[in-house]
Amino acid sequence: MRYISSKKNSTEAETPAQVVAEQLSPHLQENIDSLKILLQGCSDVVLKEFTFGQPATRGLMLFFDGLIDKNSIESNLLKPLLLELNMRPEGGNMPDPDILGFIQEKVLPLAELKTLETLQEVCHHISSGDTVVLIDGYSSGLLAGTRSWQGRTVQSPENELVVFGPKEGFTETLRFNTALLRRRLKSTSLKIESMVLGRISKTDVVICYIDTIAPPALVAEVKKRLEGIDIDAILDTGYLAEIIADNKWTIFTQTEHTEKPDRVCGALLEGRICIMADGTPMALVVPVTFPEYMISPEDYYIHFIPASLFRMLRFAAFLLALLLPSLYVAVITYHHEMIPTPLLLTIAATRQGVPFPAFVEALLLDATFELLREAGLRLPRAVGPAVSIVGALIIGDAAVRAGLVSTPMVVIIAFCGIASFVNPSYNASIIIRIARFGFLFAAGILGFLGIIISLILMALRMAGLSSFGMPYLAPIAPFNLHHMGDIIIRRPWFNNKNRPYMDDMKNIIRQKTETEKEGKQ
Amino acid sequence: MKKHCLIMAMLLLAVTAAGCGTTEINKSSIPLGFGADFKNNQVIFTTQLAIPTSPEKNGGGGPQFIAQSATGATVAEAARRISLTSSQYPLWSHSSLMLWGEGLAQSDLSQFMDFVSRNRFVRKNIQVVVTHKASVEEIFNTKPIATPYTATAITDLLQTQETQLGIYTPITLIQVIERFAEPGIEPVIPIITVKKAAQGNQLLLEHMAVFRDRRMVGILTEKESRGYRFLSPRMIEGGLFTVPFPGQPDKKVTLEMSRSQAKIKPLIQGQNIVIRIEISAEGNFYEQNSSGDLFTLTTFKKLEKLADQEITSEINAAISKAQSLNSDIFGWGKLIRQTDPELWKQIGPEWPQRFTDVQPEITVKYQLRRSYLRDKSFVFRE
Repeated sequence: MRYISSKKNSTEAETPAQVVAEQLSPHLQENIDSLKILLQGCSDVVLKEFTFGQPATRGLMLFFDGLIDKNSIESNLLKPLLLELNMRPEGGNMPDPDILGFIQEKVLPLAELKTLETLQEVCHHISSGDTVVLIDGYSSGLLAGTRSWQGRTVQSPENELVVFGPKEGFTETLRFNTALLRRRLKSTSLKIESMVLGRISKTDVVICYIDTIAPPALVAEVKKRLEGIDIDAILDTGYLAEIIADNKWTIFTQTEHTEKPDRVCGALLEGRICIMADGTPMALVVPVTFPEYMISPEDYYIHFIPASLFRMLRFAAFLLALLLPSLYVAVITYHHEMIPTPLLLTIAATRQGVPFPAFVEALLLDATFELLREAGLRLPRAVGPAVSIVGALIIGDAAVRAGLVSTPMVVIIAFCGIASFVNPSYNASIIIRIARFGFLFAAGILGFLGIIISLILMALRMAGLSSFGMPYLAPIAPFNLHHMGDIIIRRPWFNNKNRPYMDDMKNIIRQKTETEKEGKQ
Repeated sequence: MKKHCLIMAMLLLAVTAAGCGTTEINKSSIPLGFGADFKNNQVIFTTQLAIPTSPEKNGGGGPQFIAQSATGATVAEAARRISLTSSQYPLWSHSSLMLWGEGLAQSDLSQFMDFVSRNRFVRKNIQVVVTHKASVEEIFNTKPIATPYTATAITDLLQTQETQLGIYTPITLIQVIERFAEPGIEPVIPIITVKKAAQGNQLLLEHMAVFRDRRMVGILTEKESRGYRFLSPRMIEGGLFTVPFPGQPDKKVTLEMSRSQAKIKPLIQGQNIVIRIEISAEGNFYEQNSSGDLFTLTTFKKLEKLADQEITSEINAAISKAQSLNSDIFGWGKLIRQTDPELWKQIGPEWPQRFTDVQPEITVKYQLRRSYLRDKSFVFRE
């Protein structure tokens, strides 16, 4: 019933936008009437009428409270019009046919002033925090840039902590974020193209790239995919990531999310494209391949030898986090021969009286761990420690004491949990967490055979994916030796002459060799 | 959609089916060693099961193992009859020792070798040891010194005595199987026995069992075992031996063997088969029980010569024992087969008779290398 009635309403009633004229009227009163219809129910709007100058002219100022800088409005709009105009030598006289042009050019001391023609524009700009002044007798309004709101200042991102390197992170305000990029790459070849997405949210979305490096086809493709989006609102770049992905039905995400401007700049310099949206600190980087999830921006800031070792550690941790519980279950359930006898004796001793098969035990513990991790994310700060105590001590210790689970299994799951935190990319750790359960099931059913089959299936699936045309497993498959030199190990900077290869990249040279430098002279 | 549901259902069923044909560790027992004996036409199968004790609850004292025996007409039947007394499923792959009871070794081994070579659970690299003057069960009930399990104690014992003393050569199951199956070589297996001591029974390695065809025919003494070890085709490492002090036969010098390699070559001289044995060994001066100074070039030469004589006499003892037992434990027949297959075709069938007439030609070259912390004898103050 409700469904039918709502459908009926929408066909019969007209939206406010339809009852008023699109263009601004030269008569102020008409404009006020139209605006009152449009802004019905918006309690935060401020409409202020005033009269100024010689001849006395009526004006209307409107803005949304909370988005504007009141001081700026008072000193840059109201004070010049109502007070300073009269103190001029000409005594407040205005050239009658062009009052609008006169106050725009000579009276208002504001940097950002524009004229508007339609009511839609007026509404859009006031909801973005600008102030609009309408003057009786003119069919265009005056827009004053007075945006100012309470926002987060630049802080270090909580989710991507580094020891070395820049600590700044993006904020929710898009302009701050683009400024952070511009400050790092002071070149006009850093392009920041803007578009508005979202029918209701009207979110500013920017596409950043370096036009002397990024492949033009890639830029065009990103723009095309973004322009094809017609959605009511964009609250986070995560919306975009899902919509513009090449392959949508998969856990393997094909975009990278980051809060770090230095990481974005690194990606831009490799010819990639960054998408940012207003209202979220998360920037999207495309294209991204799976091996690159193991790379932390920090790798490039520390010496290449430790950086390479850390990377290998990360790859090892990735494999452990993915496979350790399933390997343990397979060995315990199917392949006892592989365990050294003393270890088997220890495991046998700890497993005495455990009621569940190893597979069920691993599943329960792993699920418990995920539960604790998820709970830890959402907890209010005050109860956080309490839950970790309950989770770690009570559940872990009591379960072992009660004989519900065996100690080695707790060790394995805990180790696996630690290993999954090593990964610098949250996206990759989500993949690991999900895939781990798949491997666990495979190990429970078929032992090592199952693990191998699942590994093959996973490799096949990943090899079939692509991110904006880039193979998901590149540079491992298809193999690229040059790029491979910066995946498992970190290529030293003195040897890092070329950018990682991408199709149609405009400029592949990162560092000029001696001969190239001389050739220039 | 239907297809997906079906696949999901199959996967769920597969998970519940997991466990078919698998053995959970807490439902299995871990046999660390097993053995068989033969008595009154019945096979007695004995295994030593570990009793897992968790590290937290340790210190309960008492043995951490239990020996289980069962009797049957065949080895397999006897082994499975253990499940009449022990509820858990044995994981045979963790056994590291196989004991052959004296009765079994001296009777026809054909009733046993098929079982061990066919069985897929028994690892082929486990140690084989023959018991003497003690049943398999007695050995497995002997509590070893300072280690929890008898089976692992015996395997460790074999390894340690070889590097420390260099007397008995351990042998693995696969080597035994090969030696029984191949023409021209016979197995020699160390013997374990039980020694009465104040603290109760103790394990003791003593002698080696010599086999011929299908049964045990005799033993090698300690000296003969040393000689046998020198004739091994592999490089041998470790061991000690004692020679008389040059010029003073009542005083002794102990020399260490760091490595020794035998080069064995059959020579055919008409009707006679001569085996040329060249031993090149080196070692260190370990101890002297007198105060005379030995460290001159001439005494060194004398010492090396004495060592050569000692090694030669050990080798001779081993060869004459093997020839008297008519068992080619050194694999000379195999060696002839490999170097001269044509000749082997002629003499192969009568090799057991020919073996006793083989003339060994032994040259030993032992070199002294180091003398550890002193280069002179210990000198008391005047």
